[in-house]
Amino acid sequence: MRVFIVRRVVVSFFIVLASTALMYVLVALSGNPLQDLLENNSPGREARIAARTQALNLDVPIPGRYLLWLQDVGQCLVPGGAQCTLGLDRQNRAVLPQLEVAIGSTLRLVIAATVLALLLGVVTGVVTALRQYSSFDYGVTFVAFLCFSLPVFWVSTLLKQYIAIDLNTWLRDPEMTYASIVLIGLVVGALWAVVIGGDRRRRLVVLAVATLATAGTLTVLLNSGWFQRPTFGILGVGVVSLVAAFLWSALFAGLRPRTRRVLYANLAAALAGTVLVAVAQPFMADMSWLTFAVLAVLVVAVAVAIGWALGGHTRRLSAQIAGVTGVTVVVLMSLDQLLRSYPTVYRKTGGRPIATTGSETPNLNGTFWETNLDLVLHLLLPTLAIMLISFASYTRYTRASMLDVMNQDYVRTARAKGLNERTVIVRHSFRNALIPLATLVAFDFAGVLGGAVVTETVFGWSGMGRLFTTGLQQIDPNPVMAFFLITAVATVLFNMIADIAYAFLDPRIRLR
Amino acid sequence: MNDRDPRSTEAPRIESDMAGLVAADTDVLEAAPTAQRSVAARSSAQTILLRFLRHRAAMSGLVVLSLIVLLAFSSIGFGPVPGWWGLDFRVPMPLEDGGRPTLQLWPFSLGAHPFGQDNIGRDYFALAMKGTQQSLIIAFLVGLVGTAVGTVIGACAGYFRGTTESVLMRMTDVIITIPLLAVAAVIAQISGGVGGVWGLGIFLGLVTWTGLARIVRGEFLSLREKEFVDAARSVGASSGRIIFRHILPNTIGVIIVAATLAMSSAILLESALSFLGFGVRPPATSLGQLINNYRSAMGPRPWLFWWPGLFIIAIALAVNFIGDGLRDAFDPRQDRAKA
Amino acid sequence: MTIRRRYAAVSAVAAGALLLTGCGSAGGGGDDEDAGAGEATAEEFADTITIGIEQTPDAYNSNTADANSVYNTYVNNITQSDFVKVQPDGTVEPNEALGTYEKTSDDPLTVEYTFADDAVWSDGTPIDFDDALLAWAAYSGTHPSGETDADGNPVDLFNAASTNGWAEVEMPEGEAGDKSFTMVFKNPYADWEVLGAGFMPAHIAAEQGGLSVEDDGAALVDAITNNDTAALTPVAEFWNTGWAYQANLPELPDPALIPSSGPYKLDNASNGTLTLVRNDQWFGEEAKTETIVFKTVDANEMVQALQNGEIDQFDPSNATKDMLDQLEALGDTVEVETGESLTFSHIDLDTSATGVFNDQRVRQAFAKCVPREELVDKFARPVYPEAQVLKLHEILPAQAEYEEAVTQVPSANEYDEVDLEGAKALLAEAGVTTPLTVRFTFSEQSSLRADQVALVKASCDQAGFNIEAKPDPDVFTSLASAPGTWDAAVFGWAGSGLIASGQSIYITGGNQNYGKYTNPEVDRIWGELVQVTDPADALPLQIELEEQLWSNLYNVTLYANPGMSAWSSSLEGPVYNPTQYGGTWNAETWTKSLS
Repeated sequence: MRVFIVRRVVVSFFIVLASTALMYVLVALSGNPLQDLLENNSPGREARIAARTQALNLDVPIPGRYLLWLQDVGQCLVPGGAQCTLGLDRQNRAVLPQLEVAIGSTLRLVIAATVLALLLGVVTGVVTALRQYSSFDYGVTFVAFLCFSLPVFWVSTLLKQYIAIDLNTWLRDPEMTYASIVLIGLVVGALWAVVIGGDRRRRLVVLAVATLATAGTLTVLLNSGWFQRPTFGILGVGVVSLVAAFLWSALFAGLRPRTRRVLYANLAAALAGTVLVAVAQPFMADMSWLTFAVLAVLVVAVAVAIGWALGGHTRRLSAQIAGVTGVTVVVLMSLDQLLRSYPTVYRKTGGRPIATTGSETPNLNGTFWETNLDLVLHLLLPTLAIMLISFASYTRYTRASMLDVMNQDYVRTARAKGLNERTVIVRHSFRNALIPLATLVAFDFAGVLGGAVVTETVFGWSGMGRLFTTGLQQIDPNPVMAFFLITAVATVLFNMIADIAYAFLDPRIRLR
Repeated sequence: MNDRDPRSTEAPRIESDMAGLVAADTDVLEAAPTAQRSVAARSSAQTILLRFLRHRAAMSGLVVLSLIVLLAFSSIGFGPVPGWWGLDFRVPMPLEDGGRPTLQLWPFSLGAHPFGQDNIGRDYFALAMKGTQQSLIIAFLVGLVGTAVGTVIGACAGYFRGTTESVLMRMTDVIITIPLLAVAAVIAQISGGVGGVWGLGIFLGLVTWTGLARIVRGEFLSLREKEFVDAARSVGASSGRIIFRHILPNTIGVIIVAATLAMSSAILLESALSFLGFGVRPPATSLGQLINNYRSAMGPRPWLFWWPGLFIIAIALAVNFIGDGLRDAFDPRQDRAKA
Repeated sequence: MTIRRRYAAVSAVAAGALLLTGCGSAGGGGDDEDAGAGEATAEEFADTITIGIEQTPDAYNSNTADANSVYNTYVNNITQSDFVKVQPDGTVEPNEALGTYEKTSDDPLTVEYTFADDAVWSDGTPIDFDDALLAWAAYSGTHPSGETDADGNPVDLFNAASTNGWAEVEMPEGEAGDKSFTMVFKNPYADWEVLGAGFMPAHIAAEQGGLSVEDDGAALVDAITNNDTAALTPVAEFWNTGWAYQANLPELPDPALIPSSGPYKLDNASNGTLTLVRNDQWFGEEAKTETIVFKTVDANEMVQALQNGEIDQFDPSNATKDMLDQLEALGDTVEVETGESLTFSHIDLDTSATGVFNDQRVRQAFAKCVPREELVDKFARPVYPEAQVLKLHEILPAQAEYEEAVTQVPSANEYDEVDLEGAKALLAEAGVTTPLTVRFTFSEQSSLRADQVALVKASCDQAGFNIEAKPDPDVFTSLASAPGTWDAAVFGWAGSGLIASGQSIYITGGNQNYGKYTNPEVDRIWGELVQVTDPADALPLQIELEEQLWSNLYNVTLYANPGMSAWSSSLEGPVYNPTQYGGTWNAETWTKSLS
């Protein structure tokens, strides 16, 4: 293992070296860095041409400039070395601080998109695999292929128009005709019907119930002005937590008499979590990441403890599932708090909370939750845009991988020895299907990092994509190389992680 | 952008290149059907064709794509050959009705400018068709060049192993390290002027072969150990003959599927590059460039934004479905799986 | 219940619901007043206005060669005061808040400046002699650092964007703390009035350069007066780079380093967004709105950002018909004003001895076949309906004197209409074989220019030319350093509205005289023009110049590029300003009503 890593690191180093050289030469050759100055007729043109020639070392031949850049990068590797700048841009500013800022906002975007795409993609993928050749399966397949075929910036423009501008206008005075409420209800109902499946009769019942529930909820929410002051309330948090606790128990432990205690323990954990959250309400107003973390850890810890204590002979399993329930409570609580801060954010953004550009509202000066809600509302559109492709590929991969695994002999054996369907799917199929997915995520993450270039441009994020595009447009190699250094290192690193993860998860593989 | 094409729904495999993984282990999934294929080649070719023809989505994709290709090349002609659509995409004409599309679906009539007119009154149908041609050419070139390079490199690496493999695969790794969009942007910035779409297509092909090279190499690694290769070797067949006559036909499925998917990504890649301002340059045009030019027209003159977008989606979707159908036809394993 | 009946029941319920409620609606109205109407204050105006800019400002000192971007100017318009304020029509108005000035002599040209008594930087330090002297030191180019650049030219300590004008000024004499100073010019300088600008806080530069700031900056004054290079080097270093922002503005430098002399001062920055607040030390009329925010938004995304209320005003760098349409589609919520900018499009011709256009008659023939009216119609008028064919080079329609001047240049009016017959006749007269091939180059990145070349080709090919479109990825390098590879070129010049700045385009051997045009009369007129000190004297010379440029044809001017400014209709105050100062020139007077 250690030999493998060392060898891999050495090889990767030379690969990165070679690819940076290639990239540097390409960037330097891609145009004339003095273009805009040559175009300019204002006084001082010569002085500025001289200044830029000096800043970019244009008098040095390209290979020499690459060596100079390497030297700048090298200074970052020497501990306590001179100054680590990653070179200067064409205005003589160090690139490193620019990169540090850029990485922050890009990572926020990429991580949010990856996590969401992964969650949704895996769930959808599993469901399509279980409902292979159902209309749901075909529908999702089509949507996935559509996602692969959409130009990202084309979609982004549409998203801005319809999700941001029009939705904002709607939110100003949320109103819906009953006809459209019923229509939405029917669509949601139909979706549930095909997801849950079953015979025709069951599907009709599901359709009716889901339609009525959706339409009813919408009507109540609209009439109570919920869209102006949204909240779950502590009661809502409690109820949803209990439902979640039930679902997690049913999914991971099953509702057999043998695991009845798991269910009870989880319900108790959900209840206790809710009580904790209720008690903590006074502290919510001025929360920081520290107090939030403390509260979150506390809730999860209490849940796990309750799961352990009440779990009986299944206490290990019970504690694990209770942990999941605890996390659910924390997520719900956060959602609730974010929703509650909506009216303030709404007011501070001049009544148009969903942003089309930028990563935050300037001078918001809000509380912890307001600031975060603002961040979320800014993340919304770019995340959606980036998610599309990742979501599609995770869905397809999960489905393929799931089908593959369910066709394996050991799954057949598990069925043959009489295990129930839930155990076969969750324990034997799902877990093994995730193995190839783990490596895909690692590969994909580095890819998404590079692909965020387009999205950042459309949504006015000043992240690494901005560094890259403006750098390339201005033929200013150092910022481009900084972007590239990160993606290149991320690629080799994640490739390595993928291989290690694969070996770790799949005992058939040994690393040499 | 990733070297692994996420659309090929095979479970991802780890190659044993620098990782030094045990290749035989990870290729377990692949080996069985490949062996079957090689035994009964002729009948399996027919089966594959039959399976493909039965794949409804793929067939609709094929029909749509053929129609688009036919429309694009017959309408405004290609090169010296004139088309049936009389208007030149370069010639400005007086604006009629603010350049609104004259296309009518019911009763069907094309009118003077079915897709409307652009800023200076050029016929947008002709422009969109020209753009479609160009995008198709780019896609085709990228697919062709990328597949050729990727196949040769992957085949050589997988067959010869040793130093050849190390050198070739390290080279692949170097290119994989660079995000496709980034290297494509730089290449396009340089080549956009040189040779227009043809230059762009070929240059892009030269950087998009890496995924295929890895896949082909993986196939070769497992196939070269098979009995039929040993047999060929023992009767004194040359390496070239073994590679191209014996092993390559057995990997053709994988290659065709990868090539198809490479084409659909090429169309999107080109449009993304044009969006960033690094793609095809005027006066040459492409679908991506049309969208980018008229992105701000989405509000006032939506047709300028929608038509090229719809064509891109239609082409990419059709190609993707064809790829899916081909994959299912060549490797029908998943059809057997039933939960 | 059978399945069929159950199905029927479900449909009945659904249909019933539709029937019962089909025409009603849920939600709406309700309690939106406290969600939307601000903090229940009786204030009539919003306290923040957000301005969209396409690039992030990169320095507080926008006078260095590194940082001379128009977006810095947009910010500095309201954070730094000059002695003059250039109006949208290009005329110069004194800015009484900072002080007064007076021309006291024409020979030598002498101007006396006096800072207002209450003029102070926002940190309380008076604006006085050391600030003026530092400006002179920085812009006059008289402080060689002893180093030379790659071409062997000496490098100045101060990396100023321009030394035009200031280089002609003798060192102002005075004492630290003086509120007035005198500029004496070695040679007359036509644009002297706009020189009283670009004052940076000298006490900050001195302090950061390690000099004492006691006694109103006496140490700095001494250093400059005695030309003490050792003492000035760190000051100059700070002047050059100390006021630069980090790229993409993640945060502002230490607020103590960036005191303001305008109605606003810099408050904070994050992620490319810059916030200004009222300057409580400001000595002029108080700014109307408390906070102004500059937000960086990609050019293509501006309209949607304006529509979504994320910005309140923006000046697009490239105004297009689509943008205008998009803005107009927003109806009453947005105001748009268009006009003619100071950048103009034109076709330059290779008039060198070997050039296709060496013969004056060929140039005239080309000028006669270029469809100027049609080009204006397709590319300028869609944005600015009153746009007209540009007939002058050095005076643009945005300037007040254009209308009058154009009537006095008879030759400029000879090419108003496309005259294919006339063009053919001229070509025949010149004795060139037709079709005459013209390699017409333009920037490959611009679809606009490609379209224009297509239109010129459509017309001129009928007159006996054979236009070959020649897109070039790097058109300016080719123009300057690859003579003989092109015959005609279409591009824009960004005018400055100054009198003296265009010299190198037109004189023999001028740097930007790409077509190698030679006309001794033009050279002579320019020689006189740059030394004129009264704008009134410049006009006759400019008219004479224009006549020369047309009668001995220099190039074909097309139109002044249309410009645009757009703002939310809740704003009161913005106007379109084509000068380099841009829309924010009067931002301190804007108000935003709360609707």
